[in-house]
Amino acid sequence: MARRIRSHDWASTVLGPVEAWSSELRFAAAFVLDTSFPTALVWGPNLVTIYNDAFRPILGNKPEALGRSFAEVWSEAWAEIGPIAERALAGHSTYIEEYPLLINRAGKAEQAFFTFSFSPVRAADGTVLGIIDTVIERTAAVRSRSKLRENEERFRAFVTASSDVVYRMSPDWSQMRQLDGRGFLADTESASEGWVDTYILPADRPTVFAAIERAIRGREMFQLEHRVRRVDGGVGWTLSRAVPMLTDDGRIVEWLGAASDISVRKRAEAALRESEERFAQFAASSSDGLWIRDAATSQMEYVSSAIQMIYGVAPETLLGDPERWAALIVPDDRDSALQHLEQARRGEAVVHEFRILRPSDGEQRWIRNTDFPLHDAQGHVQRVGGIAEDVTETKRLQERQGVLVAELQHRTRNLMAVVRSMADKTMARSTDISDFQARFSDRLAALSRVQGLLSRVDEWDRVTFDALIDSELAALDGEKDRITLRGPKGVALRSSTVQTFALALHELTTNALKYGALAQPQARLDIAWHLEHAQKDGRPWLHVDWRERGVRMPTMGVAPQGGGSGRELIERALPYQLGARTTYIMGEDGVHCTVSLPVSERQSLRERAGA
Amino acid sequence: MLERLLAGLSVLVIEDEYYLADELSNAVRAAGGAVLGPVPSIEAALDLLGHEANPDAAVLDVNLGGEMAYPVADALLSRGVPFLFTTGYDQAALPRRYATVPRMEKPVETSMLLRELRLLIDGSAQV
Repeated sequence: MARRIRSHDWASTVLGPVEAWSSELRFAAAFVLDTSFPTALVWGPNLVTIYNDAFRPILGNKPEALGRSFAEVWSEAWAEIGPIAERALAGHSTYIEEYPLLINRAGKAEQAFFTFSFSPVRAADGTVLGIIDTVIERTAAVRSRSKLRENEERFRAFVTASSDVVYRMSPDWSQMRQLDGRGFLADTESASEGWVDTYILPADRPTVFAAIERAIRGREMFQLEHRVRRVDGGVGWTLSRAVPMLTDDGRIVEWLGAASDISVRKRAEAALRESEERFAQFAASSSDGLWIRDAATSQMEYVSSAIQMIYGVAPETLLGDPERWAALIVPDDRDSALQHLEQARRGEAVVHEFRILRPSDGEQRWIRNTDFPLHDAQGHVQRVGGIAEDVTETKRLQERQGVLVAELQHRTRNLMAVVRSMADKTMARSTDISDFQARFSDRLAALSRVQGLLSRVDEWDRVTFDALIDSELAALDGEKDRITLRGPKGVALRSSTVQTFALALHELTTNALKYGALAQPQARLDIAWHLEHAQKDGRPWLHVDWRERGVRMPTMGVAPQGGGSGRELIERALPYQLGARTTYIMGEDGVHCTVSLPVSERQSLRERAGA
Repeated sequence: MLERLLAGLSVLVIEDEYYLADELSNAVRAAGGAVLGPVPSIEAALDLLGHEANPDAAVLDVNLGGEMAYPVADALLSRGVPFLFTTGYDQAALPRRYATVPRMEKPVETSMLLRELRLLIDGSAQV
């Protein structure tokens, strides 16, 4: 600049050649050039401009100002600058901060701000010779400050309009400058370092700090859902966002944040999660299959794991197209099953049964489906829910129960008929009513015992001969040591023969007890039996030998005592009803009776299995 | 009163329970009828029907030794022998083809059974 000043053609200016400059002008010009503060020297009544290097940026692209009138150089703003220059020339200095000027230094009008001072330069006699103009351009600073203010104003407006909590944080978040809690959080009205303790739960602090650090490092928005201590002392949830306020050079000035209360949503989310978890556990533990279809398309959306057991396919293979399910149903039942699903889609809850062919083992299974509509908030059927239960066993049991009930009815009525007939016969042989009562109740007891035996065995089991004889002899006390039993255990009797056989054994026992081997201390009873394996008709036979010994028999010619009913049973009923071969002899020392009858084939199987 | 109810008529008695067969047979005889049987099984009944002259009527126990007596019922139907069932089962438990066959639930009242037999015989004679 000094060189340019030296080489400038000052001779053509009102200042004249440099050699001719007054000492004051030289002194002032040297001062201006020597200072590194942006400075211009405005000299003489014509306001000739001399400026230093630091002043150049202020001039921008204006035509060279050196040697020209300062009024001409700043003609666009001279209305403002002129009076200040006048004041300086009149001996008054001026200092103004951030003075707004509309200038043109880049080919267009521009709002600029300057902090400057105009100072008079005097001669030794005090007359003002020129002006020293020192100036700092403040345009950028003012602009960024006003932008910040604008932002802040907008933010305040937004905050007023919003129901959210708003807050301001120091650049590094160590300090909360302000927080307006909106009744959700406690207010922080003046800068505080303790905000973490006030608002953030200890367990959540690491997460919150990490998010803050990320935001600071990236100078980006802070955003986090976290728990907060509410103004009422409870714990709430907030969605908190804060944006950094940046200077032009990218420094963070402040964070402005807004935090909304999302406690209700979070509670709902937690409740939903819990409800879903509950449902999942429920569905997983249920032995019934649970499923959900889209009502509009019938597409399967959800199938629980129990479907695997029930349908014999992986649950996910039933998802989607309803045909995948329908294909498993036996053709005869398919239409009905689909119609029921259709009913549920129309809003009706239905229970229906159908058969499937289970692919895992090819078995036909009965399924009972409960289909029900699931409505949306408007009451439209949005989905169809269902419960699938394998009722194959139930069906079988029901069938079996039906058979059993019929069988029970049959047996009961038959038994009633037998009891009546037995009463008639007993009556015919009784001498009087008390005789009848004794005989009849005795026979009824025998009949009851055998019913007891029969009721304790199921269709796979049989009453065995030893059990039958044990049950009959169990009623005896002291006579037992005079009885010998010889024969194999486990000879199974055909169920249809048990009742009559038992009655016959009972009559034999009764007679022995009244008149025979069990009535006389010196007499004995031997019961022996053996099994003869399959004869020509294919059935095994049981041979029973009932022999009473040492009985003092009544005199020959006297009518046999008692014996009639037992004898009839053995000689007539057993052959008739059981296909038995029997003998009944009144021997010299007691009754000798043999009974041979076909027995169940089952016991031979059982014995084989046991052996 | 019942003595002559079945005079000159033969009745086939099919009943596996000895007591009941005996009771029934006695009742038929007491009413002047002749008893064919009694027989306790399907085989014995079919055997009898195969060899002997047709009885005028029959009494058939539905369950013989644990088996349903349908083969006997069918043989009686095909030979035009009027008969009635004695049964411990409900009506619903019998096949529909026997819908017209009278059935008497056990325990059967003997005098009613005899009258029923007489009605059966009269009915089939008129046809």
